[in-house]
Amino acid sequence: MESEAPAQRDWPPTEKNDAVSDAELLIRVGEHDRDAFVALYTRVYGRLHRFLAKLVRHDDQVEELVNDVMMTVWQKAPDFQGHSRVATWILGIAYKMALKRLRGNASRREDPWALPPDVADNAPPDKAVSDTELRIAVNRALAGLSVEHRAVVTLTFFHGYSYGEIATIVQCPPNTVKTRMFHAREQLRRLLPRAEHWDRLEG
Amino acid sequence: MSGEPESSMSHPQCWELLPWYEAGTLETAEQVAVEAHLRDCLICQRELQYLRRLGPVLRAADEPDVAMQTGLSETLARIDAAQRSRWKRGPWFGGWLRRFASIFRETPSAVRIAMAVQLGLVLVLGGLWLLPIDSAHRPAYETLSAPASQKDLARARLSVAFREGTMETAVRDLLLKHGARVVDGPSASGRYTVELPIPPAMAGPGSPIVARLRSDPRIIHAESLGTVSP
Ligand SMILES: [Zn+2]
Repeated sequence: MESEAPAQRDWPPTEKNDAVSDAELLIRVGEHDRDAFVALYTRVYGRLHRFLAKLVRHDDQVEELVNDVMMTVWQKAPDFQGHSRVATWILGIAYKMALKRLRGNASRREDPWALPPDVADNAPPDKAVSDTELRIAVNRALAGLSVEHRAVVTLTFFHGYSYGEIATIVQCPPNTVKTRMFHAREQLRRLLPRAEHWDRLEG
Repeated sequence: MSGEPESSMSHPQCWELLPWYEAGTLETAEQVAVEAHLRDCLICQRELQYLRRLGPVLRAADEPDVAMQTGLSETLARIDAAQRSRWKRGPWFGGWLRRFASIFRETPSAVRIAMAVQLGLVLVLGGLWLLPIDSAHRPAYETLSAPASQKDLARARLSVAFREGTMETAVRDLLLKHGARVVDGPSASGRYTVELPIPPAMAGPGSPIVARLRSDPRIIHAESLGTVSP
C-alpha cells in the first residue's frame, strides 16, 4: 500500500539528490553521514516548515521546531524500521514535537489555538467575499480547530495523505482520524462563509 | 458496473471517507464502494460537491514555501558538537548517550533545551579535565601561578545564566574562553553554578571575573558565590 503511493506525495526532489530515495538517505543518516543529512534536510525543509507553521502558528517557533525535529531525525535514524515512508516517519516526529511545544505554550498561558474573539463572536459574513477575505476566513477557521483536528485537515488537503498514513503520523487508529475529520468538517462549515459566496475564488 | 457490493458501504461510512475521495487518496476498493454509494445517495453527492469546492479554498490558504534559513547550519553545529563529544569520550559513552537521548526525546522542549546545553557543557568540560589541555586554551591568567596545575588554584564559584537561545556550541566556547566548568545546574530558573580557577591575587569579593562574565552579551546573569579552596 505504501509503495503504491503516488510519487507527488513524497518530498519534492532536488536537482542533486533526486536519484537517491528518501529511505537510502535516511539509512545513511543513521550511519551518521553528514552529507546525507544535509541532502535530507534540504529535501524535507519546505514541507516540514509548512506543516509545522499550520500546526504551531507561532512564526518564531517554527524554524526552531524544524531544527529540533531534524536533530531528532539525526538521533533516531538508526531506529527507522521502514514500516512507513520516510516522509510519514518524519512528519510523525514533527507532530509529536509540535504537540509538546503547544502544551508548553499553553502552560505559559499563550494559547495559539484559542479562537480570536472576532471569530468566536461573529458569524461569517452572509455575502460574497473576495479571495483575500476568503483566505483570511479559512485561516481563522483553521485556527478555530483543535490542533488534532487541524493536523488531520492539513495532512488531508494540503499534503495529500490517505487516512491510513495520517493515522501513522498522528499515532491513532484510522477510525479516530475519520472521526476527527468528521468534526473538523462540521466546524469548518460553521466557521466559513457559505459556499455560494466562494464563487470569485473559483472563477 | 454490475456485481459490485453496492450495499457494503453505509451512508455514514461513505460520508466519513468523502474528503479522501475528493483528494484521490482512497484505496481502490474503498473508492469503488464510495462511487457505488454515491450513485444512490443525494446527500453524499451534495457533500462531495461541497468538498470539491472546499478543497481548493483550503489549499489556497496553505503556507507559502519559505526559503531555508540558518537552521541547517545551526543543526549541523549541534550534530558536530554531539559527534565530537562522542569521539572524545570513547565507546562506553555511546550507551550512555543513547539512554540520555531517549530520555531527552520524552522531555518537554524548554527542559530539553536546558538539558542540551548542560549535556554539551558536561561532555566538553568533563573532557577538558580528562584530556591534556592545549596550552592555547588555557586561561591567560593561569600563567601567573605557573607551573601550578588548575587543581592547585583556588576556584571562584559563580552563578551564571545564559541568554535564551544561546547555542550549545556558543556556551561551550564561552566557558572554554573563561576556563570555567559546570558544577551544578541548571536550576529551575536556568542558572548554572560554575567554577573558574583563579590566581590568589584575583580571589575575593571584588573579583574582576564576575565583571568579565557580565560583559559577555550571551551571559544575562553572573553572580559570585564565593571561593573554593584548592
Ligand atoms: Zn450517503
